[in-house]
Amino acid sequence: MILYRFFQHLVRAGWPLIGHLEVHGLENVPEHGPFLLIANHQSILDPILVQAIVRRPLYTMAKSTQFTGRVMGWLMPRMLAFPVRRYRVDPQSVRVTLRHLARGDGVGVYIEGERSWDGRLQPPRLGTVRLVLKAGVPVIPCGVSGTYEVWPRWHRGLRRAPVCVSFGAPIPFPKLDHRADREGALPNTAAALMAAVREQLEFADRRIESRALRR
Amino acid sequence: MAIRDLLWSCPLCGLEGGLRRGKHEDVCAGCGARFRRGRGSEIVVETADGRTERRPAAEWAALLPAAPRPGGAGEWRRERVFARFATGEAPVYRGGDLLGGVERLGPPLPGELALTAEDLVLRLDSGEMQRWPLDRLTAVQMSSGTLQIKARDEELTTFRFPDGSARLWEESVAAALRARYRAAGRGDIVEFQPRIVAR
Repeated sequence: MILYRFFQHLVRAGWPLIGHLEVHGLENVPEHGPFLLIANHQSILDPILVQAIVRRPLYTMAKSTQFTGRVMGWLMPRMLAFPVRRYRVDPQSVRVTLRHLARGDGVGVYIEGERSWDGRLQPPRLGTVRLVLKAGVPVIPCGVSGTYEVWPRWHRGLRRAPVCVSFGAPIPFPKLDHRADREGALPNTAAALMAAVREQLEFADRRIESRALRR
Repeated sequence: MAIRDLLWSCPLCGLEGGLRRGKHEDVCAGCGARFRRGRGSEIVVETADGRTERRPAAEWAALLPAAPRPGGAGEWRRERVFARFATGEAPVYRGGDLLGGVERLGPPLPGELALTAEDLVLRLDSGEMQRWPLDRLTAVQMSSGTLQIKARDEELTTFRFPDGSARLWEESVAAALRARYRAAGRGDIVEFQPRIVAR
């Protein structure tokens, strides 16, 4: 945890080198108890930034290929990440998520499942929606805007650009223990989650635009 | 990853897979336009006749067709690749907790990958060949600049395209699979990962 806290401080202190950072709604992240933080995904920077902003330790699902190599294989678990194999159904990642939630932890999941190619919101991964219905914990919708301008998926290299992260009010979802019930609730839950994330993303977009107009 | 993964077809001349790796930028093999990143997500294009055009990446991407044009009965696409075959999984722990498994990949093997209406065929420079009938694929995705495929009862295989577009291949394999599923009356594919699902 010491290393994690160190990186949180490092990212918060160093981010001004990348650009202006605005954060809204941080008070919506519970100080105690389990929650799922559901965010959009524009850049490889998103998990790093969100984990730095949320003061509580935030366990984050990350694709399994991020754990390959000696350095990343050592670092990723210490950054509270856990792997998900995206090329097959991966029950272990669900078990780890539920285990963290049972312990009262917060877990971050990027609902699009991969970084956006053009910065726009993509359809949700239905596995994430099923997880929300299985977990039955409050969901914190999160919009991250501007990281696409800093480090998009199709280029290696940083550019300075303003970023805004917005957290919405917790949304309760029912805990559905039966698979048939979860499948039945899937479309409406997916729509509700995406609407909540989109609302935060659009707010964050407007904050960046209004800042640009003021300058 | 590269601009040629975002722009898997040249937005100026329409050549699929036209953008190829250049020295410091991607260059279209069809019209000679040069693509590089500008400020933020801006992509700057210099055409062969000397014009310069700057647009946000999303605007360039919006000029692309929805999907690559399906090929005919024969070979549709061919590209140099480095292939890696998963040889198993390594567990990941934090403290005493098992977090999951991470694939172990073998060394990169140079060869050529070809896509037809029926299968993906890899011919390694060593002479070995491997074939994946499209009907046996259970997942197709891009990850960290590579194309990943998973076939039934087989381990993961990844392909890195040193000069071409992994995304064009992802979209092409997806288009071939969609056509195949429809022709076989198996419905429309709605998901490609974590596994192919058709309704």
